Amino acid sequence: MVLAACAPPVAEAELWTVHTFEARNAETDESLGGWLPAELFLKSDATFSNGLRILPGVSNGVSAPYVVTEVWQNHPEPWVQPVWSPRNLAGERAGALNLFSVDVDASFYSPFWKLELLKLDGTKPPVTAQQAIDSTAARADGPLVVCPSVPEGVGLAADGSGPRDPATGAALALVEPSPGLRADGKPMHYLDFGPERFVLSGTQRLVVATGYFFVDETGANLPIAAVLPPEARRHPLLWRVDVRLPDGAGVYLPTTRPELREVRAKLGALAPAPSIANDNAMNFTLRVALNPDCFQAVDFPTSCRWLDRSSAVEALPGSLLTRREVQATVVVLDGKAP
Amino acid sequence: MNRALVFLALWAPLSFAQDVVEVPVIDEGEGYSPDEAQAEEALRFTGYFDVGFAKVFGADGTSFDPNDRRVPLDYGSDPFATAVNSRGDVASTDSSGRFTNGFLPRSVNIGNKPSFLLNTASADVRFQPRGIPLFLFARMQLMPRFLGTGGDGTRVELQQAFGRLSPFKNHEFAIFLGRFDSVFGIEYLENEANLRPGITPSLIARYTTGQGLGAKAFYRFQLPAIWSAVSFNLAATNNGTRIEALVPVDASLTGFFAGSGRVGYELNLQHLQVKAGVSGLYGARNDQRDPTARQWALAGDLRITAYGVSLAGEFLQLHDDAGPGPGKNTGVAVTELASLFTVWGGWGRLSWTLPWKSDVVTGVTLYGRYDRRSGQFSGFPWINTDRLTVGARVDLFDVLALKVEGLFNRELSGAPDVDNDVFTSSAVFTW
Repeated sequence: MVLAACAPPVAEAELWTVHTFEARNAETDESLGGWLPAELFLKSDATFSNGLRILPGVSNGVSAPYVVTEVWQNHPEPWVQPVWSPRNLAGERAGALNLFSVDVDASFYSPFWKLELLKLDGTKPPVTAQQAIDSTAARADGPLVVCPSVPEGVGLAADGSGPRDPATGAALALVEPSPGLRADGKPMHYLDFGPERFVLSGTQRLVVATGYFFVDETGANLPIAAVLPPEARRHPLLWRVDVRLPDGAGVYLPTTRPELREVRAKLGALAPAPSIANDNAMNFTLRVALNPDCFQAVDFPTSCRWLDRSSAVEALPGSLLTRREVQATVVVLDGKAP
Repeated sequence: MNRALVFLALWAPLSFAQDVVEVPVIDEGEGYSPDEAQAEEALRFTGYFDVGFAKVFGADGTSFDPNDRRVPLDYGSDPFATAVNSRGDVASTDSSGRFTNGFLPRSVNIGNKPSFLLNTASADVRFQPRGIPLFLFARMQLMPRFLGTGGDGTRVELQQAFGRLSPFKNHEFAIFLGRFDSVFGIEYLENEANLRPGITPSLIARYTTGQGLGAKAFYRFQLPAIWSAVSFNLAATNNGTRIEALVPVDASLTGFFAGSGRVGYELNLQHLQVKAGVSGLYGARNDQRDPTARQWALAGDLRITAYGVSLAGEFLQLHDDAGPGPGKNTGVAVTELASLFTVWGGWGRLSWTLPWKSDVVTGVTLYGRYDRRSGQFSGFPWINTDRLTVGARVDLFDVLALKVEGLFNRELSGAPDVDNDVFTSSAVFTW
């Protein structure tokens, strides 16, 4: 006992998933790698459906709304796991469910999957991992997909008009939960964010990029567009870096967006009102400018020095940036097809 | 070795003898640790070397399926299935570049090729000072191997080194300090190749047969009126009872110790011997650094011997909490995470020692063993496997043991079906 008391504390390796976000949604003092559960997951209310909260982001100057589906803290990097997709000889799904090799309660769970297509010659599709590996069906490599496990019925939080970019208000493509099979054949549900969603680094690991998330002096998240890496759509696994706003910086927030009044209240003086002429630049909403007086300028927005790309944030004094031992799945959402 | 097998086949049926063959006597309380009564000299040197020949009937000597891309690979199959010697070393653990997370035995790296092996060269030194209730013992073992990374290498292991104090002349009570055999279950009694009737350990041996570093106490009292004895064997060690390939022995990573013990009962009649016991283990997992992550195990064992026929068996259930922190340390490597793990399993062995011997053939034993194991790392399917082992042992001149064995492994569910049956043989020279 005495010896144990001298042992240094062990930093816990944590993995939080959408299941955690939902189960611990009411906890207000629980930080999941820098996020509160309710910041990532919205319990249904009068306006919104139950689901992942869509957060504002920007990548290389372009709006990049996103959801966070997993957070790892003090944890080894996630691996790419196989998911078996039974197909007929024509390569069609034909109603068979995708079979995921690792369950969400595994320490090696990952939302990053490599599809293995099993071309079945009229035989029954596999329903367990063992059957999939033992299958004599012709195999073909499929795309790399991000498919986080979710509780049944959980998708993107949205009002009646569908998911929207919280910054620009633009409509986003719907992502609905799909049924699948766990490795032992039991049912599960997942969100499919589409093919070619990440880049491999080596055989079964993926390239990790960096995301910059704005926080106040206490470390609490600010409702500002996070700065995501270039090609953010293909780099969903991010190291989290907390960014404190430099002195004098401000957030562009049009007054013409009544749905953002809570955000305005939270930001207070950090979001000075733009001039009437500049009050409708939706594409710049919730972005940080180092010189917010530009919100009044006639040459807005070109005169603004925006923190809207990684290189701009990385040029800030190092004292404003704090890298956490946190990685997160940050999935940039696609716009709704016209 | 083939010549040896021919020799065996020709001689075994002919070597009749009058007396019951003696298998090596082991004090169940102490494992393969020596008895000072045997120490005719104050300082003695003994040992053995084990020469093997093995072949795995499969693609690569592992239990991994080439189509299996799950991570970690060793969570989805049983890498211990292709054992080739009494250490439990397997033919191969080559994962072809796929990630594994420390659930691996040691390997002789022969793949599916038939190969001679020098499994173990083992040397014991024991010292029994006259008139002092102290006994000192050390066992050094050398394991020459082809290294999977290329070239040959010889691993040296100080498998045991302990001092034993027997403070009471009239009581069978002893205290041990150092590195010594496990006290859990019964299979550790057969760790050494010269003592094991067969060649390979069971599918659950990995959890019960590891040497521990720490202290232990043994007490046995006789009940002569009913030809019985009851024994207690308790240990507090850094590591618990798992083999060193899975859990490091030489340091406590958590500052807590693992307690293990066995309570045994034995009935000794003229033609019938019954031994039964229950074992337990509880303590911090020593393959990670957080003392709140615990391991526990329970086991029961039974041995019945009558007229040269022996029936033995053991059943085990074991649980590991997940290690809260990153990092998993084994005796072989540092890997990523110590996952939640549960296993149950057991084995039963029927052996028959033929009732004759000669000056040359000092013993012939035929045996069959059935193993069953069911294990799960959290989030992965239950891996259900079994194994049938059949074999024979012939002892010559009380110095040489020749053994042949076949292992028929099956993946019942959860793990991919792979070809991983094994033929192995062993010639153990004891000195």
